[in-house]
Amino acid sequence: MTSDFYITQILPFAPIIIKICRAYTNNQADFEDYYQEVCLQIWRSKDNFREQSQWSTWIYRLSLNVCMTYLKKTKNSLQQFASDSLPDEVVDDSQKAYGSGAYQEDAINRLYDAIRHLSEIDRAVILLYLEEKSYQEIADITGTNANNVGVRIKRIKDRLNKLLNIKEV
Amino acid sequence: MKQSIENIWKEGFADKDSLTAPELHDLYNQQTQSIVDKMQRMFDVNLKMIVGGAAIFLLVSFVLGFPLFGFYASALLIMLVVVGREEAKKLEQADKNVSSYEYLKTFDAWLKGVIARYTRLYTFFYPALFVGVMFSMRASEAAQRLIDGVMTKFPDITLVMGTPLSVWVGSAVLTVLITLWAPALYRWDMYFIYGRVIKKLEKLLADMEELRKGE
Repeated sequence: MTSDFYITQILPFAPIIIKICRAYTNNQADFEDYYQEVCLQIWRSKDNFREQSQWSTWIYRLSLNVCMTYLKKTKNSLQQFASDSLPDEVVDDSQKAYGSGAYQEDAINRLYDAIRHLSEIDRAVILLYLEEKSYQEIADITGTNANNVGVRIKRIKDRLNKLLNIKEV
Repeated sequence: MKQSIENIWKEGFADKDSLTAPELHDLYNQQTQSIVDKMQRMFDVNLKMIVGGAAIFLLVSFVLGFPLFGFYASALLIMLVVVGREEAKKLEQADKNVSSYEYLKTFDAWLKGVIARYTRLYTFFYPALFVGVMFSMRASEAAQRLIDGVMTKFPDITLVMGTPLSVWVGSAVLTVLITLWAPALYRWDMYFIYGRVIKKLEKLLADMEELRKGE
């Protein structure tokens, strides 16, 4: 991969890749591997980009596909939690003040832990939802039906709220 | 602000430092290691299977009453294993304290060397095996009965060492053809087993070469 391509075409979209890779890994080494694999695949597949979608949308799709495929391939992939609860140290944050920097950092970590509980495709759907993609875009990227996206997101959010002990009003 | 997963997400990434891209270091190290390991494992398994096959064949040859051919074919198979072990040792001695690219180039050169050596070996192996099969068949009682039957029908047939000349000629032609086809046969066999890994290796090397050009 030429450094020029990386700097101009990938690096500006690194936040997208980072957010996605984090949802499919649970340690820094795996995260860096996934990030590198996604960058490599973007570079390899760049000639397949047909400009029918935005470059960023294409990066979302490719990153999710790479992460989902890589997750299946990786022998030491994440262990799916058997129950619908997070480890104690993740759930118990009542002593932290909501809105503080420490809280925010911890909160996003907890959210990621919860997202990792989801199936590979549900992770993709919720990541795209949180990135404020439209239902149609989510359906296009994940290859699902736009009519079902809303229902699916509701179900995923319910599960995440339960995992995070969030009571939505 | 109301606590929700949407707010957690937005606030969690408010600090741009949390989205700093990791450096692309050792980009190809893992892929190189993975391909080399896979190829070595496959090569090792293949050699073990040949050893197992040779042992089973020898046993079967004793049971079915053609032990000489059993020894002969097993010896041919073991020759393949001996050469394979020699080649594997060469790879073990390769310098690993080099970059992924250099190691992969060494591995690629080793693989090409192995393929070239085995191509020459199989040019001998396949016809040698065929000749062994023919001699073994000729030595069988069934073949003798067949020749006796042919002799009864065609008593003026030319025999060379008790075997019809046409059989000698036919076998010789087939042996020559097998010798000519042996490299292609070996390549087909090899690509059937290692084809996907070899393609991956070629692709990875091409990527790395392009990367070096761009640096």
